[in-house]
Amino acid sequence: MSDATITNNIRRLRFDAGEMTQQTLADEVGVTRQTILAIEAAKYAPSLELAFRIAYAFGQPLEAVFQYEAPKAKGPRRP
Amino acid sequence: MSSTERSAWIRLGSLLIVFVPYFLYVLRLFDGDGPVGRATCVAILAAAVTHGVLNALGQFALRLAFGRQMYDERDAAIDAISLRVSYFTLITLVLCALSTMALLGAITPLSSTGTILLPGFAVTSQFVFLCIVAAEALRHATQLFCYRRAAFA
Repeated sequence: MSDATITNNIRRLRFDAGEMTQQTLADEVGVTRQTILAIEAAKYAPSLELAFRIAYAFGQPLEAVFQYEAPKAKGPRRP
Repeated sequence: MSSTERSAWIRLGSLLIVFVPYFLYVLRLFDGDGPVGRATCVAILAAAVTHGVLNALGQFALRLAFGRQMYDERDAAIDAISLRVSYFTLITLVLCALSTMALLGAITPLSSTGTILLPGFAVTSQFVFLCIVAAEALRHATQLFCYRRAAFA
């Protein structure tokens, strides 16, 4: 596993969507509830396709759902 | 607990229930003085059939109780990790087992006829079979560990 972390706002977005259950979201994006649980807890980084499907389910852009934090030591990439 | 996790529990359980007694039995056979070939063949057949039946019954009961299993990308990722672990284990164990037996043969004193006593085909094949079963058990255990605790990307 890399040092970089991928965080997400799925819990808050589910709350904003009228307390949408994990099962409802899982059914909507075509995975199991356990996978949604693991993604929410940042224990599993979803594939790009699944990340887009989750963002689409909330009607949000991808960056509003998932955030990428680069490893601190290396710093930002320069052009 | 997802259906795929339950399925992994059943596969690990049936493997341990059948093959732990099997290897204990085979160990006793090799400890004795009698011929081992026929008894080992019967035992391995019985173990394979029992394992197959137990596993099939367990999966069938799981299907009846919880319906069709959904397999998603996290399951595939966990499968890939566990396969990698189990094949690495299998290769390492087989190499260790074979080299240990070769070393044992080399350091064993010469027999009265002056020939080096190497472990026979039956012992070697059981060692390799044990490595395969251990790797398979580790595969299911890794799956369960990933489902329960692991954080991975």
